[in-house]
Amino acid sequence: MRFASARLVLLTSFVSLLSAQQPRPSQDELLEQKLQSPFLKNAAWHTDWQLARREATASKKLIFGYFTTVNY
Amino acid sequence: MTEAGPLSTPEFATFAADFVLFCHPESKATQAKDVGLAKRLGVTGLPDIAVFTADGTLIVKVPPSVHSVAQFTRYAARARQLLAWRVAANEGDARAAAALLIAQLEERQLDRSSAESRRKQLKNELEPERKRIDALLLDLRIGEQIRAVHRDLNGRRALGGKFLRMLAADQLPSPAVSRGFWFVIMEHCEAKADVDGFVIGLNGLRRNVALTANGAPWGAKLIADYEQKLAQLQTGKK
Repeated sequence: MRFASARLVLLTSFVSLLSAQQPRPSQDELLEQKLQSPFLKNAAWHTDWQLARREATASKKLIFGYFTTVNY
Repeated sequence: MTEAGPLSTPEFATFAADFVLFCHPESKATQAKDVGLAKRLGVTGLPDIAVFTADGTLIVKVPPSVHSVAQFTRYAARARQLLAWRVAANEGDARAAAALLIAQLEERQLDRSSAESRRKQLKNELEPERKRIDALLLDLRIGEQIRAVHRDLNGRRALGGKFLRMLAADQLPSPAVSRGFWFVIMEHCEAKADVDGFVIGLNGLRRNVALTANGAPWGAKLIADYEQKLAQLQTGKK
């Protein structure tokens, strides 16, 4: 019984160590994830400032800007 | 959270039809576009929401409180009003010029020197405009004075005494003055065991919190902390 517990502790520690060593997502990966966020599919968002400005000029609309970070 | 909250609602999709939407995630990714764009456009905190004209001029920022589509709608109307005043002011409308200056001061878009120079260009200020601009310019001066003594306890206490005398002389800041104004008054009164002055500071803080906290728990906690200090002051304990 004691042997089984010790094995379980060892196994848990090994799994924790593995997960701790997993590399954090890179900034490129985080940016990719952010650009796939569901909220960006709820309406027609631009992520190119110059394009947004051009469209605002053509449509005579104001720009609603949401500024965030890839970590948020 | 704003993204999973209001930005993901059907109401937002309806609201968005009147705007060009732009999302800018700042990052250090190699594929990141326009690094530092937020700062260049006058957006300092992230995440942040603001309304711009097509030429990239920031018209109004949406405060970083709990966001909602109703709040976006209010600020969109505010942005349109500011633009209308700007157009009218450029055409020589003195009232619109005053309204625009007041709105820009309320939105904290101007530093003191540019606000004062804009004020000099106003013609025939009406009494309510004069009072409002005086109060908002006083807010700016107060903000500068508080920042100057930010890390200096004795400086803050002295400034609190000065602010209390200012109030006694009927020089009143706007209700949206920095909370620091009331904090330094209470710091001064606590050091001087001045209960009446402390109450003035606490009442000012209450009005400020009612305006800014939107019922958030931090507001009630802040007031409770200062009420406790007042109770200690009243019983002579420190």
